[in-house]
Amino acid sequence: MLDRLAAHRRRALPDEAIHIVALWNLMIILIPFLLLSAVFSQTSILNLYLPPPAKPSEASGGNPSVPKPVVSILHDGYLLSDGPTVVAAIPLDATGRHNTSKLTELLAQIKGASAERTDLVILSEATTPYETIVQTMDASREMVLQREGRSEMVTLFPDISLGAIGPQTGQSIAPASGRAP
Amino acid sequence: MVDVFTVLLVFLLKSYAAEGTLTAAAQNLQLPASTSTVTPRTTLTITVSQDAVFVDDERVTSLRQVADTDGLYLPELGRALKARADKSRFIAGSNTGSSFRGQVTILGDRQTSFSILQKVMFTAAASEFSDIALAVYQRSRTG
Repeated sequence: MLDRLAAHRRRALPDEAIHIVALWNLMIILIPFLLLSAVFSQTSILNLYLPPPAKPSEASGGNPSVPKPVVSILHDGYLLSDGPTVVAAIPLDATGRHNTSKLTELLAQIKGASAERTDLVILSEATTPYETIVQTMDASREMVLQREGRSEMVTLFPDISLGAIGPQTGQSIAPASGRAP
Repeated sequence: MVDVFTVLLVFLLKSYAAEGTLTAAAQNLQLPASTSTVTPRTTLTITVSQDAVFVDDERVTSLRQVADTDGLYLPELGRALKARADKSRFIAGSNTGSSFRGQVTILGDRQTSFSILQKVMFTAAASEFSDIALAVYQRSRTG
């Protein structure tokens, strides 16, 4: 009986090649397709803030609503205002781009004076590119502070609303900075 | 060799399926870069590419029409958004698990001018989608 089993086992192990041609089709076509369409950058979002409607008690006779910092993006720089009063005019930096680091510095000063305010308005011209607006939002949301050799993230104004520049603001920062355009 | 390819295939299929909601590379769209790390939510998407506006991959209007529109409201976009809002409310009416929150994510090309973005945002807010988020590529903070 053992002879029969041994003979059966020998017969049942032929030297067969495994057909992987079909599998290779999958590899050669599917993998390059997936590699090409794979996006190796991560997406995230920026939330926009819609200010709540003014409460009736505030509108009728109580304190007027707290003024918000307003950053106006003009073609030749930033105009920073705290409520209606212009605080600073920040011209473009040496490379011709908007000076986001100076903006962050000034916003940090405003934040230092009134730490409980978290909302801010960014006004843009009609031709301002979206990328500039996003960079301005980045500069206004938070700041990296070097303290004792460690870098710390300080929140400035995370609640940002967007708007369009009204006709009263003017088209250039030159009058505010006191220089001829 | 085959086992290398098998592992690579499994990895790519997993990452392709997981990245899911915001596939901006498929269209001719370059999102702006930002340091934000807020994870995207699964919401309705409005895509503003270099030549057209899409609502959830359905072409709604062309950029030229948007630029030619006087005033801030875009009627075609408004119609498409209202239809989606009504459908979402209808589903929320019969399914207690979901609710209509009015959330929308705007995927805009980085060169889009603010006037176009403003019209899209105004139309979205007028069509009951006032919770607006802007989609961006993550980048590390430099300096």
